[in-house]
Amino acid sequence: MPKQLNIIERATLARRLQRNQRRLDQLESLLAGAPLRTVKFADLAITLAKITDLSADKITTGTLSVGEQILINDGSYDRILITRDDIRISKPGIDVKKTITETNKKDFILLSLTETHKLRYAGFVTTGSYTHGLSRIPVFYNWRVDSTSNPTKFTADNSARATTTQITNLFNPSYLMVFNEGYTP
Amino acid sequence: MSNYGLKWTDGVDVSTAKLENLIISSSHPCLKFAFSGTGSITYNHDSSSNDILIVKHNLGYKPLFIVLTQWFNIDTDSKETSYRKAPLFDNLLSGAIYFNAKPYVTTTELRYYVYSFTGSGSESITLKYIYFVYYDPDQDI
Repeated sequence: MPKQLNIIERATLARRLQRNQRRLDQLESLLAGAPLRTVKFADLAITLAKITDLSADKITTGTLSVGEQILINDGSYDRILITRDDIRISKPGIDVKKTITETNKKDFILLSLTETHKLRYAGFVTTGSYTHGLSRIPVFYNWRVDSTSNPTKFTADNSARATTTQITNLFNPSYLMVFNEGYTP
Repeated sequence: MSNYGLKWTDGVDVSTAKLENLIISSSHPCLKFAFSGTGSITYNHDSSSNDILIVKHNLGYKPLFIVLTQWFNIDTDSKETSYRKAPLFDNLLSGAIYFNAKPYVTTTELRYYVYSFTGSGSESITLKYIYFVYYDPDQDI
């Protein structure tokens, strides 16, 4: 410590030396393999060129938010697309990003822009009727079955009747599927 | 990429769930509504048939559809107000008495054809129906 410095100057110099030593210690720690904490990139961007590999296996909590879309490729075609107002899944060999027309909606497994049936009930019925309580005539399918515990044969049957409250005239036993969708003519 | 797609289940581990446990699987198409609604068909019982247009879909292929219809009970010789899946055909006396309700699709239309005979005389019958036409074709095309 130079003798010509007064007590205040010596204290200031001592603090600077201590601060610089802490910085040197941090650098040596990083060089030795300590993990980085907050990192800032000069161009504020993590470009694809900077990423050699990336996995999402460690995301187990929280909400995954994306700005525009999620796109999943099957190796040949983009097959699943999730955007802020649309979810699409295309059939194999179909680009999910194709422009949708009335005649190519058949090429999709799922389109959130078109409604699909929602299952209200599926199961065996042994009482000859099922009360759905939907207040409309629902879409339904039924089959005669040879057993409820180990069925080996499902036989098409159109004797069942629908009212706005029940499915009746079911063979005993039957397997019944009732969907939420329907109408009150 | 060998394991891709989208699945979801209701209370079952999605990684081991069987197909019957899946609510949605990206490997299996959902029926997608193209058209649906209600209508009625009127025909002269015992004297003539009627073949009407339910909806013009113009899809260019034959789509899957379902029609649930009121029907004529040949046992009681009266119209029923409940709904049955069509097509349906009921007959008595080796087919001499019958009721036939037969919706069908072409590549452009869903149509509905009805006729019946019980021998009790001509009578105007109106049957209500509901229908759903799907974007999904009746076979892979």
